[in-house]
Amino acid sequence: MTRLLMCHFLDPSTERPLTEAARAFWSHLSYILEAKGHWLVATAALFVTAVLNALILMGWSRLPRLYRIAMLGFPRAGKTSLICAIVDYIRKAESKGGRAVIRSEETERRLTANIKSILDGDGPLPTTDNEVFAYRVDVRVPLTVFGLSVPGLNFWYKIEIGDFPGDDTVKFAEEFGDTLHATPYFGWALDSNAYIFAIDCGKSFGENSGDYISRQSSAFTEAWSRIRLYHFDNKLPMKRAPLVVVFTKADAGLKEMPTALGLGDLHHLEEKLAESFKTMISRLNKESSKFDWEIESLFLEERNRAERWVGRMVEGAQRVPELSQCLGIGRIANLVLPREIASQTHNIQ
Amino acid sequence: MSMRAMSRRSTLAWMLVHVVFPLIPVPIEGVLRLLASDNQFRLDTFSASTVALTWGLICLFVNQSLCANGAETPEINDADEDDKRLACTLMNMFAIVCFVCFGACVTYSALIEHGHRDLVRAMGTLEALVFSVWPIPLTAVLMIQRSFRLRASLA
Repeated sequence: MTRLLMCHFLDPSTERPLTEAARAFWSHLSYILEAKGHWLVATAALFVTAVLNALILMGWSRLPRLYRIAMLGFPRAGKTSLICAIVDYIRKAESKGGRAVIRSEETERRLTANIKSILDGDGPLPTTDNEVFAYRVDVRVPLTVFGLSVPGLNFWYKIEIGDFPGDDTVKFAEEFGDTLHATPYFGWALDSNAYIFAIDCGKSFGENSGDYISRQSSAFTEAWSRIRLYHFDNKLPMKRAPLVVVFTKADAGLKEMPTALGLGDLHHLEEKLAESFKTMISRLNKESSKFDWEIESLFLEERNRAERWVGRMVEGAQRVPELSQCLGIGRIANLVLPREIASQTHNIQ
Repeated sequence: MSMRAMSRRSTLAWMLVHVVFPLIPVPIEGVLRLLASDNQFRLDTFSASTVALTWGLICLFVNQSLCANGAETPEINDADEDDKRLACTLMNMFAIVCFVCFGACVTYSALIEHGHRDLVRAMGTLEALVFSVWPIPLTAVLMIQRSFRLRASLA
């Protein structure tokens, strides 16, 4: 058969017509298939189908990959503000290339209302649901093979950040007995991919700060122990789960410190916090390879991301014009987001 | 409810219960036929009707798991509800197609055994179709599991 085809193409003077060669080729192929068994064909078809359907479904936005971020903190620690700022930060990618989409109408409604309220100086609207609400943002990520993005092929993440009423936080943090783990939010938080512990920076230097620091440290250390206990047979992923302690309201922390500090002394605030929460930070640092802690403030704006503490204090009750540009938000988001998204959102600002 | 009493949920357990265990009849049947045919591996080593029936059942199990998933995770999210409805519809559709293929395979086999040799070619085509497309529901199941984080309770 091969000789026949070669004769035809290499020697045009041959008298054998092409149809004869094609007919012979087909009969030879049929002979191979019948002799060697149809399972060869079935296996090849199966492989092609698997690859095709995997590629098709990978780009389907209606079944995105779930990524959960749990936000834990005492009442009025700034959880909702922080969530709104992070969601706003992720959403900014939309204007830069159409990568982030908010498909949930309820998320959009709450986000708009909360951001307006925060920027007006009233703070976020109180979280009054009986159960957890998950803010959801869908993010499109290009598919990469060996570091190279495949044009036209994407996959989707749905980022869910849980918010819950402050009363449940009291049960969770203060009573850390058996009953607090029956709250719906804790069951939701246990299955999360990343964790944020929110601590009010202002209260860490105000009256009864020693008691506040002690309670916060023990509550969060205990909470992390419970989470690890739940995943005791799954140690490696929990070791790699991003865990970020966020000291919110850094501007209030500056005001509460014993010596009047200027804006350039944020590094001093950082040192004070590290010293006050030394026990908790060192323990969490041992138990998670992706542990970090950050300072956040809605009154401080980051001008230069390269220089960590350069910013400006916004006068009076006026907030930074955009939540996504507040101090610490970019770094916090990039710490807790999946690697593929974090690398994309890194240059949003 | 104490921590110990709180039911722990596992992805691996979910995959075993909803995908791996229902698929076990397929390799068992294949191994038995392989042994019976002097280790000759052919297209009819595996039964297309068993494969179709198995995947139909898997789609139903996943559908049931999706419906029960809402009760375990009380988050309120309208987009999630929409996606869940879509996934349920998809699984129902796959289940119906699988059961139809199962019925057709069994009917063809019965007719061929009663002397309708002219149906052998049609039967072969149908079997090749079943063997070729079963990865599609598999991928859909994996996508759904990953999207809704379906897990089986260990306690």
